[in-house]
Amino acid sequence: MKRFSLALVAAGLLGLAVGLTPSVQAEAADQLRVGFVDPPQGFDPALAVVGASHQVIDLLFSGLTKLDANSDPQPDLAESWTVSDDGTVYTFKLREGVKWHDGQPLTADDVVFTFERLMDPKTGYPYATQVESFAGVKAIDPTTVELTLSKPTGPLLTFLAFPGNFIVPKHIVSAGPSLTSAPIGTGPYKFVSYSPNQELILGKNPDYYVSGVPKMDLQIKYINNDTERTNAMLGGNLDIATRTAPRDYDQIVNTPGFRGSQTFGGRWYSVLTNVDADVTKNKLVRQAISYAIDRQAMADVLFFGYAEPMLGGPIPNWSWAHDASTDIFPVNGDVEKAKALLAEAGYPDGVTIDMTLAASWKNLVEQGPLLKEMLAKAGIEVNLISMENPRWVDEVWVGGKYQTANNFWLSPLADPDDFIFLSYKCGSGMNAQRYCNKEFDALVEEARYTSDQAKRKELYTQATNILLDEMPLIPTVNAGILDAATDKVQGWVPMRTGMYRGLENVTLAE
Amino acid sequence: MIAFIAKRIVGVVASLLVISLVLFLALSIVPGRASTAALGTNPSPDAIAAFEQRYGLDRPLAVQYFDWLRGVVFGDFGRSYQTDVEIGGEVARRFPVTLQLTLLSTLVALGFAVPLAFGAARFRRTGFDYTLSAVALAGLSMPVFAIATALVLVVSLQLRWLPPGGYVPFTEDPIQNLKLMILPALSLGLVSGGVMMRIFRSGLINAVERDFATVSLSRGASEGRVLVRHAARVAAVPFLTFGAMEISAIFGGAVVIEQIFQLPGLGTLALQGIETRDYRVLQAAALVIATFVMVANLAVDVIAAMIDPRLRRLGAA
Repeated sequence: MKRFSLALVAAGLLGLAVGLTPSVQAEAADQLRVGFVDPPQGFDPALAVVGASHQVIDLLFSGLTKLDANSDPQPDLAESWTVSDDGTVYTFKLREGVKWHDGQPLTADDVVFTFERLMDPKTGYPYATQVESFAGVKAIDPTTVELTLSKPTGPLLTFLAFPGNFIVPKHIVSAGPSLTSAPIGTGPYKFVSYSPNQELILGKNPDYYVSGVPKMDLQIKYINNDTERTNAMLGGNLDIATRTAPRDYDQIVNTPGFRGSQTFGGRWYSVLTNVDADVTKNKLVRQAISYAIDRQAMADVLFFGYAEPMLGGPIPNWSWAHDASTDIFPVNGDVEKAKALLAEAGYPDGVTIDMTLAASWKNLVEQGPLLKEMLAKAGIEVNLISMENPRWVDEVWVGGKYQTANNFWLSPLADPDDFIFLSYKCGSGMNAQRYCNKEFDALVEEARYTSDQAKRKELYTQATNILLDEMPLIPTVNAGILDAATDKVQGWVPMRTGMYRGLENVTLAE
Repeated sequence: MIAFIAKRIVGVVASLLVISLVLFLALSIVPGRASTAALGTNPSPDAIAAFEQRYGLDRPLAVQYFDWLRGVVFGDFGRSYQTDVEIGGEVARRFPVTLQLTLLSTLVALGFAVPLAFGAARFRRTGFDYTLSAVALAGLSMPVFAIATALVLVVSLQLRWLPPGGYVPFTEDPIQNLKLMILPALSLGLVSGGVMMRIFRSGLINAVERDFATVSLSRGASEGRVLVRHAARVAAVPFLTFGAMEISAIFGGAVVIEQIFQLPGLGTLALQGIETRDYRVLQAAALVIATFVMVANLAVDVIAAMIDPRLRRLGAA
């Protein structure tokens, strides 16, 4: 027994002894280590639902177009295109010599196959509204594709740059193998391995059409706890940490050897109000809630200043479609106005409402107490209810069993259509408020299917004014996308879309 | 002895069947559907039908259960709803990580518990004993995640001695593997070490104050010798049984620790299974954890029966 326990002690201490030598994390010289937040759920462009999947699809596949850092569409697989005068026929000239990761050449047939697959209701494409106006697609020759639309579609070139619409290999998908677990694309990176909820390894695609790119292999680590991601960054385990928590951001950028970037894009927060539920079905109550919110305080307290108050509709300040005349809510709110609206709604002595929070999204949960305090000042007593995420999705989004909730979204397109269309349109999957207004729908439909930007802006302003009256969803703040990197990281430009195309240009200085 | 072991194995298999059934039923009534988690909030009926058909979710529950069970018996855990990977292979890749973490944590726990328990028993009811017991109590009262966070802050971020997380297989780079395992193993081991130390200490004191020990002492044996040669053997049996439960606790605690230190073990797999309603993944991870806990308990019972023959008769009766 004595010898036994001595052996145990020795073994236990051995582990300790190994560690007491000062350590430097071993790093593969050619691998860029990037911390992502949520793990992806499958890599098939047509079937992926969550942004975490799109972030990876964006690295593995390519679309006919891609977005630049400012979210303007640029040529990708399509080298050039022409548009018919009525804006309904697009003829794309494909880049020559592009190869799939398995060595097969990309042809116009792949493009035709991809779009027909997206248009087929049996595919169950979650973002099918983007291809609603696709009427037909055909290959003119191996490098020319003609896409016919049922009506001119303003954001078409932006839609084509959305990872869901990226081109998939006909020879693989039509033969049966699933892209969900074994993706084959034409993007800068090739799939190597994925350990769920843990680590994704992507290798350089030697046949990528831009020569010499990517510079490094990618090791993506999934760390969804903000503190753990920050610790991994500061502890030398990462070269880039994406979506740094606002409370950690200053600490990271003030540490020698680290820097950060704030990018305003489509990451916006809102309070959802169920227009079918008791109390919140009254638009005056919804307006009262909107006036009661001190958006500057939210930006300061919850986002440490790394957010901009949204004072009107959902279109962010930086967008070409933002109209300052729609910014009607005071930056600190207006409690008296909120009280008056509440009284007008028939609740002069105040009212009680439920707010349902998704427990795993800490940034949403921590808004609860602050919103409760703000609304209390206007006479709205809030019951905070917290539940596990999958149940929250079922009750709030699918079942509509809630009065108010809060939400955030990162628009992957950064086009005004993406902010306004899905979130408010009748019957849309993104419309948890169950709002339905045919006049509004007609305006945003028209804006989507208009090519002229000035005309689109005017239509969005009209639509936003309807929203400001009916207030079915209350935008609160647009949060900066905070990414951090070590000083060694070179050549990296963050994207407004929250995607990470561009990593292929990154190198590490010695 | 063989009859004893055989009987216990039958018991383990029966318990696993019950556990698998309870897991299966519990997961099928939890709110939050697998199809919404996988397909988004507004999937078309066609997409839901295709999804449910692909994973056999359109069949009656009983059929689903027996089909799943038959697969499990032959080592086929099915495919993940979310990522479409073979769950069996994923579990097999991750089990060694959790196992290594559990074994190292147990070593840490024993490394603290056993010598300190001897020390405390030797100088029982002195200031030394009370101080040690108080420290152990403090250790076992701390949540594992708090110790882990504190260790990362001090050892990784301040002193920069060890990385704050990550994993390298032992077979690839043993030194780096151990470096990465030290903090997780310490976090789990310190808590269990506190519990084990207090149990073993009271067992030792209990034994050393019994008649046979007094006789040995009166014949001139030193107190230390009596503790190590005689009392330890008496105290070992209850300690082992207790220790097996504690190893089960360590294995369960690994779920939290793996997440904090980004270790690719069963725990992180199970957590994602919960978050995304990926039931097959969760079932597989939970079943493997349950099997491990039972096998560990069985092994300890066998060892205890070897030390104390009376247990064999009790067990076989």
